[in-house]
Parts: sequence; structure tokens; C-alpha cells
Amino acid sequence: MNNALKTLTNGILKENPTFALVLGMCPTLATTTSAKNGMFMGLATLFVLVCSNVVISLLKKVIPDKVRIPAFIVVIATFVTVVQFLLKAYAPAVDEQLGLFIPLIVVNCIVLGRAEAFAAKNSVGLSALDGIGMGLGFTLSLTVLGCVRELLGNASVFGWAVPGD
Amino acid sequence: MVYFLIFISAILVNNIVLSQFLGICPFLGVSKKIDTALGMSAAVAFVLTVATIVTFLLQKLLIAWHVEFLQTILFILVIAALVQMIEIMLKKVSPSLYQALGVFLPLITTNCCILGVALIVADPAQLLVKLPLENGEPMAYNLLNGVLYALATSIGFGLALVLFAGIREQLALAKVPKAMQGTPIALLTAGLLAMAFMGFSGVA
Repeated sequence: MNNALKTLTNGILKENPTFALVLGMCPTLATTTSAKNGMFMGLATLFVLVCSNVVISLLKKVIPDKVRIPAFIVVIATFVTVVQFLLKAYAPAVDEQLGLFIPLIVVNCIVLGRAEAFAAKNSVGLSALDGIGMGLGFTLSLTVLGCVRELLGNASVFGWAVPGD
Repeated sequence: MVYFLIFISAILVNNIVLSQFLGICPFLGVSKKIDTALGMSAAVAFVLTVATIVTFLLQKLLIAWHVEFLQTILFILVIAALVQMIEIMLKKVSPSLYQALGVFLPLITTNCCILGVALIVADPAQLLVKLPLENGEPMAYNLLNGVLYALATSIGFGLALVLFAGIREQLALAKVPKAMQGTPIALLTAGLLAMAFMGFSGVA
């Protein structure tokens, strides 16, 4: 239990992907122009991270060591395609805003990094928790960055104007 | 003239790293020394140009067979395979170049400017960088200007990387306050460099 809790909180504070590991800087810098964009980018990455961690952890005994990186990338790309279609169907405005950066989740270093460093070595349950923790940490830092940048650039947070001038 | 504009636009005005925010990871990761920065830029230029040609043709096939949804998966597979192939070829043909690039080659697969440029050229709807106007409409990418765009982009990537590495080599000798050492000062430097490149906006 303690171990599970540790895995979950590890990604949020101690090994926060953006602020501690400095991984995945491209979406971090490019999509955090507003709090909402940052949050959606974080959530999309969270989804991919959890799904790919679970699948890779399940397949860790089947995948030969030599082709593991391409195999991981195919798994990740599949889930990214799923996210692309979900966003196109249910949140087309967000899809338009994030545009190119949704397919580029495939090459986000955090996703492949966690697959290689954690999911390929640990049980399915722990890998899912690690994905959730890392994803939440990423979402949190992107949202915070988005809030600050939106406040500075547009004097609003999540689209709500900040009173005073 | 149009081709000249593509070059100016991709290298200076819409620099892939400093104004499009693609390829930040290698930009921060392998910019401690000018030599490694040059090696990385050369490897990226090579893979980027070849990958763009292959994915551009692949996109035509995808459209012909109505399987556009496979785009993301196939593109990244092509890039991973190309990187692997180039690694094997270089090992045979030019061991010295292989030695020099060695560490950087496998890293290129996850460099998002490769997939980014492939997606931009293959699917004009995702255009971040509009090509110069032609009869009032942004012209579409064909194989020739797509490849030129890829080449110019990789030159832009190299320019940003080498400039940044040069600054960081100087910074290593400077007395930086303790709280700013490492990543913070690197990010600040990158920000200043990006501001400098903003001066080019509107040129082409």
C-alpha cells in the first residue's frame, strides 16, 4: 500500500516531469499559452501515459529486448491516434488549438521514458499508478504555467477576466 | 525567389526551435559543447530530409488507400526505421562519422522536429508555417519545396543549436548564482535567444 502511494505521488512532486526531470519541454512551452490549453494537453498526455504504461507492462515478457523501442513507440502511437479521434469528435475547438502537438505526443520524452524506465520493469498495477502520477504531475505543471502565461498575456485565468486594470 | 523565401522563412523568421517550439529536448540536452551541437545538427539534417521525402510519398499512398488514420503510427515507424538504417549504413560506409554521431543517432527518433516537419509537409491543414503566397493563396507543399523546407528547417535547427551551445560554453566559465545554475540559466538564455529571433518576424 505504502509502495503504491509512493509510486503515485512520485510523479506529482518529487519527480515532476516538467519541473524536476525537465522532460517533454516542447508541449510545455508551445501549448501553455492559456490555462485551458495547458490543461487539455496535460490530460491528453495523461491518457496516453496511463494506457501505454498498462499495455507495455502487460507485454513486457512478450516483447524481445532488441526491438523494444520500436514496439513501445507503436503502442504509444496507437493510443495517440485514439486521443486524436476522441478530441476531433468531442472537443474540436481544443483539437484546433493544440493542432500539431497532439500527434507529437508520440515523441514526448516522458511517455517513452516512463515506458522504458518503469512500465517495462514493474507490475501492471504499479505501472498504471505511475502513469497516473506522472500524468497528473505533467497536467498540473502545464496548467500552472498556462495560468501564469494567460494572466500575463491576457489578464485572465481559464478565460475569466481578472478584475482591476 | 520563392525557394529563397522558403529558406529565409524557415531558418530565421519561423525558426523551428526558437519560434515553433519543436525539438526543444535536444536543444537543451546536447548544447553543452559546440562540437556535439554540430554533430547533432548534421545527423538531424540528414534524417529530417530523408524522412520528409519518404513520408511525403507515403502520405500519397495513405490517401489513395483511404487509411489516413494510420498516419501517426506509420510516420513514426518510418522515422524509427530510417534512423536504424542510417545507423547501420554509416557504421559500414563511414565509421569515423558514425563514431562522431554515435550517441545522437538513436536520440533522433524522439526528436519532435522530425515528426513535426513530416506532418506539416504531408498535411497542409496542420500548417504552422505558411509558405509564401502565390496568387494570394498560400502555396501547397509539393515534393520539391517540401524537401527544401525540410532542409532549411534543419539548417535553422543547427543555427539555433550552435548559437546556444556557444553561449553555454561561455556561461560555464561565468559565475552564476547558485539558485540559477544548470537548467534555470539555460532556459533563461534560450528565452533571450528566442527574443532576439523575434526581431526577424515580418521579414519574409
